[in-house]
Amino acid sequence: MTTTNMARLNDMVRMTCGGALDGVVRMEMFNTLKEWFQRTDSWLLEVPIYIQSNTNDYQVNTGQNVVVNRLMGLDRPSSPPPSGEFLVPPYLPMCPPQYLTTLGANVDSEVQDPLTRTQRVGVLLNAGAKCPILRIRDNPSADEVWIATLCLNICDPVDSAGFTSPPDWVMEKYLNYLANGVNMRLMLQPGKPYSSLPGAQYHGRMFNQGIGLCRTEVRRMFTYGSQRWNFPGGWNSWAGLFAIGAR
Amino acid sequence: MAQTYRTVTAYLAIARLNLQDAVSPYRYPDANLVLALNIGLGEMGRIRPDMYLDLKYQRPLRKGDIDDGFPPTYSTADIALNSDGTYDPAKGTLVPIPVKYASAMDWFINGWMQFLDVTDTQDQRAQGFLGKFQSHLTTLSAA
Repeated sequence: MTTTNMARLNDMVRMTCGGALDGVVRMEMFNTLKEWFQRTDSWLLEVPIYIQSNTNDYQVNTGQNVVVNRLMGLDRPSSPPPSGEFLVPPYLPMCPPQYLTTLGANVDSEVQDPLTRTQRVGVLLNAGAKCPILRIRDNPSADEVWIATLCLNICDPVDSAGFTSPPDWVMEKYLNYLANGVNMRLMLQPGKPYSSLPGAQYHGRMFNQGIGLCRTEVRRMFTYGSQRWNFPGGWNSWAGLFAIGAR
Repeated sequence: MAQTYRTVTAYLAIARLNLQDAVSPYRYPDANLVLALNIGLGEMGRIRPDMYLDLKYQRPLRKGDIDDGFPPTYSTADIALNSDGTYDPAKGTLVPIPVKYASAMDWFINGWMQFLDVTDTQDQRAQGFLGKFQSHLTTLSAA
């Protein structure tokens, strides 16, 4: 279903790029969002991986209409949820679901808290696919539940009106910058009523500024004053979710 | 769907209005007007290839869809007539030109038809109309 912010973004671009056709606007909205998530790593998803002793390869299913862009982290929680207990992973109320909740399991397990997780090593063999293959390095030779933190991106098919469904909070927070991105792409098209090299340069700068801001904010998990604040050096290398992009 | 289209019949009716040829017997045959429409569609696709992709990206893209949306060649069979032989603009085959660019096609049909009457004055008029067609597709200021 088309969200309010998607419709708003569409209208913002319509007004800036007079004469642009709706279909072309939506095509460029798709391209802009694709670049946005590719460059910002802002769309994260935690997925439980049920590790078995007899294989190191696991097909990761996100359960959403997305492609997996990167593996941002692979961890074993200190008190993992029992293997096979929940078929539907318990997610926090976000649209779409992103982070696992601590609710329901042992409250000391702190599934969500990366500081109580132990880092594991694995790679994605075919990032960019909807259900990529995760290959882990060391098999624990026992049934365990690990948590893979994935970076996602939009993909086809779009909804019935040609829109994608990125996370609500990204649209709400960075709507203007996303509009800049769509404007930039449209204005770069040659021979159109809305073609404008200076306009494209301006909107391109604003779009890049938005990407930089988003990337920094996500990496520092929206902490106040994040532009001038850092973890002490010793924590930077494996500070888990708080520095998830820095691994 | 956020788009409305005109029919072949509507294009012809508007063209005849502009050409002052709205009363039968016509000066310009239907077949010539439809021919101008078909040529205009090709020109429009050359100048604005996005024109026919409008609807394609307002729907989920189907796997393996390489359709460029270019419309078929129209004929006089695509015109809808009332019982008294006049045009029925609401009926007939739809032409997939977004309505905000439909008037550009009017300029092209009129211009192309003016070329058929080969006198110096009409040549200039035709060139002016075809210039309107081009500028309407590529700039915001053209009316």
